[in-house]
Amino acid sequence: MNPVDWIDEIKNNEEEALTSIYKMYRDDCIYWLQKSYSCTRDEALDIFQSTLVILYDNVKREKLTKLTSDMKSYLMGIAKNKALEMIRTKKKSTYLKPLNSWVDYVNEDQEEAILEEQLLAASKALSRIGDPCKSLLQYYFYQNKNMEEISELMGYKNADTAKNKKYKCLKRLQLLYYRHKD
Amino acid sequence: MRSSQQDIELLEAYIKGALDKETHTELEKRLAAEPDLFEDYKDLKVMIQGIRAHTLDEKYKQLKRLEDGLDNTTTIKKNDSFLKMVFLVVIVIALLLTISKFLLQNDTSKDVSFALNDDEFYRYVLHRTERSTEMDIDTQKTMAYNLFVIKDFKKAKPMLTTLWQERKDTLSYFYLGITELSLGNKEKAQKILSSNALDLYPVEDLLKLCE
Repeated sequence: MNPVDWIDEIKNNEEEALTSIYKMYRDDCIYWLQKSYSCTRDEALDIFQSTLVILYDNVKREKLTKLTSDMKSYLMGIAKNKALEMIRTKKKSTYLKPLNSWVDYVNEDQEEAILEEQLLAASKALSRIGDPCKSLLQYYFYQNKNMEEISELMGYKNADTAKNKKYKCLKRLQLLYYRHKD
Repeated sequence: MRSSQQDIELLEAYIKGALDKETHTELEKRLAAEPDLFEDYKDLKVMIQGIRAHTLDEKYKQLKRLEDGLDNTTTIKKNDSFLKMVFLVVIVIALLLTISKFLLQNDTSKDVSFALNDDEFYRYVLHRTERSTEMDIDTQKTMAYNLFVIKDFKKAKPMLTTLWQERKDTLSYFYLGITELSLGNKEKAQKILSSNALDLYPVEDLLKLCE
């Protein structure tokens, strides 16, 4: 039996792939984090979940195109960094910043840092815009799908219709962004 | 968004790094000269990263929900195991009770195939069963009758046989007939109970049980 190509699976069937990976490596990873970094179970679980989100992001942004080791080692590599980051944060302050905002993580990647408030405002704007704009913008700007694929996915007449729709959605997003920014 | 759809598409390609060198240089010149275009470029950059942050947030929440689902499944599984264990314990207790009841029955009646219930049986106990202060002179008879009364038929049988054969004690013979019936020896019981020697004994119903 051939080993599963997880990267391909995440690209084409993300829900099922992530669920499978989650179930497969969850217990081992949590146990390892608790043992190696003296995390509580909740902290270890949080790190593991963040690890999977990072894996997903790396695949979608084509930062990860091929695994050089097995999936478990790859996940543990990310989890290790997350655990060390958590320890550093704990040492600095008794206040542990929640991991559930991905604004900081996204900002770390940027050549020029964007103001945190701006990024938060843009993220909130997307949550307010609703579908179909939200899905369309996510398909185009995050999943890197082209207009043909999007028109098929969203049931538009053709790629041009999707393109016009995207422009309108972007305009609406900008309006909402300004509202949240101010 | 003040820029045209075409300019926005140009900005998207610029952010993605997908423009050729010439268009790239040209756009940079325009960005320096056109404040509205530059404003839209800055916003577009933030919005693209905002879309990414929001998507990752959604993914993270989705994993939290998956965890909650797994937790519930584990609880259900745990409850399932608990119920299974309770069920098993109940089965074991029921089994033990059945076995002990069976053993107890065996112990008290000693015999398996007794056809009479207690009320019926004691109807056929015809000798005096009160305690006597006097010395019992007929120990053999007393012992045989007592064994019969406590339904220890296996032990009573040879003694009752002797009493009938040696002393022609008809009551012993009658008890022997019931004993054979109780031990499942219906033919023997029928032969004894239908004997002329027991004409005066209440054998009618007992003979029906021998059929």
